[in-house]
Amino acid sequence: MKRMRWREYDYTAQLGPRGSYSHRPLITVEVSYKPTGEKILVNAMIDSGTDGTVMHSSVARALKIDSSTCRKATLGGIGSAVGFAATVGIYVPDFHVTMDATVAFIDMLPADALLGQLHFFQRFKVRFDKDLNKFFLAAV
Amino acid sequence: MKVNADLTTVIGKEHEEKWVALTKDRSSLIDYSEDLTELRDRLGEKKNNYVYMRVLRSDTEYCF
Repeated sequence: MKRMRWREYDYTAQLGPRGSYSHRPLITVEVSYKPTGEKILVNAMIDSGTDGTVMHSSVARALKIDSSTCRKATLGGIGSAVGFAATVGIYVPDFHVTMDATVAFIDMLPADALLGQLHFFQRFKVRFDKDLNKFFLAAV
Repeated sequence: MKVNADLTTVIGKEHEEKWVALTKDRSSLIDYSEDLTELRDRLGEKKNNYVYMRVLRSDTEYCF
């Protein structure tokens, strides 16, 4: 059996409610769009509760994606949102892994990017050790 | 590269709901703006040297 090579990460501390700290599993990924040649590094959150990959529409504008040529994307959860979908490259520098992902871009996302089940979790094993404020990734 | 895991040292309340540009090790905040495109335009040729992040509100518990 192939031995997994886990890489350790600290949860990232951010200011939270009532003077607390919120610790979130963030990693840096490079998002690129072939037709324009544009790319951008973002601090994406690993989110096992998200079906696919979701990004703020500002990321699409930075990549110069023409939203008028994209199909509509509808998201639900707590609230709902309509945005657009486009296929981008997502490069994970720590592992030298690139994946093509059809991303839902929406205006109302409070964060920059969520890496969900459909793309990220299919390419990486993810282990959350919240009690240690650490998480671990291994490419599959 | 050792990445700063404590963003409370570089991001404050004035950055909430805005876009920030951080060094790749996240140890320094370079600039921030309400608009990501404007922020990247300001950084010019160096725009791809930085990591971008939309800062969450600190008075809110999030579920996505």
